[in-house]
Order: sequence, then C-alpha cells, then structure tokens
Amino acid sequence: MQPKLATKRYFFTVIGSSLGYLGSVFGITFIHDKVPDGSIAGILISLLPAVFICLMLRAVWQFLKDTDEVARHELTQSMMAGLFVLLALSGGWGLVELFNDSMPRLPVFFAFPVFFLSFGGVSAIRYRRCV
Amino acid sequence: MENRLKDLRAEKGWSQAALGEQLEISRQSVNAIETGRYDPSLPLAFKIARLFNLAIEDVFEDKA
Repeated sequence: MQPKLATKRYFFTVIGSSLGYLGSVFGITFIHDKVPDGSIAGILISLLPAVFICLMLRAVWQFLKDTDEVARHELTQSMMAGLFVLLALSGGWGLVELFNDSMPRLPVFFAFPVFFLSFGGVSAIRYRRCV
Repeated sequence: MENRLKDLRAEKGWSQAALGEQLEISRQSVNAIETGRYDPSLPLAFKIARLFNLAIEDVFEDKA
C-alpha cells in the first residue's frame, strides 16, 4: 500500500475512533445513573468505549503493517515513549498509593488516555522534524 | 552513516515526493534518510542504489 494512503486511512480511523470514544464516555456519564449498578446492562454500557479503543489499536496495528519502514520506525519509537510515560506514572504513583493510604487512587481508566496522549504528543513532535 | 541521496536526487532533478513515489516511501521518509536521521534497511538501500544504477557503497558511506 502507498504510504500516503496508509497514513490517510490511519488518521481517518484514529480520529473517528477518538471521537467515538469521547462521545461514548460522555454519553455514559449521562445514562449510567439510570441503569442498576453492576447489572449486565450497566457493564455492557460501560464497555462501549472499549469498542473504540479496539478500533484505535487495530488502526495502529494496520498502519504499522501498511506504512513504509521509516514511518514504522518513528511510530514504534513514539509508542515506546508513550509506554514509558505510562509505566513511569503508574509505577511512581502506584508506589505513592501503596505506601500512603490517604492518597487518592488513580483509576485504571486513565491508562489508555495517558498512553495515547503521550504517544500522540511524541508522534507530533517527531513528525515535525521529518517535514 | 552518511549518504549522497540528496545530491543524486538533485542530479536527476527529482523532488523528494517524486523519489518517494519511485521507492514507495513517503516524502517525509525520503527527508529522514537524506538528513541522516534514519538509516535504511538493506532491502531499501539496495532499492535506492538500483534506482540510481549505483552500488550501495556509492550511495551510502559508513564513517565508523
């Protein structure tokens, strides 16, 4: 596949999935009170954003397969940076939580946004150097 | 590793985009190779050398 087409498809899917993710997360905040806590319906509704997470991850996987080796190298390095930020944050804050009962608990939910925001941020910086 | 890709491309009068199209890589990728930010794999290096009818060592030079 031509790199241009692969990039276009990647951005189209990632932006669409991101909007779907944000929309579903905000949508759930409005309806979760109306569904019994812990019910099958409640769990299924809570998992709706995960569909968009899977779509985003699939788009990244597909882009890694379709694009040229330079873009693959850049994307892999950006993902590594995103992973390091996530590990540093979760590892560091995890220790603070572990040894200090009074500290607020960081929900696991934040793992995905933290990873994708840092991955996206590093990607954007690296991309600017290539232009 | 250093390379003469920019000079070779200029001799042919090709833009980065035109070279990228022939190598099936993006313009940004051509730029990354030209500026030495990325060393291409062996298959891509062969493809580049073949495009200019040169040997790999005529395009790429290992300074180590």
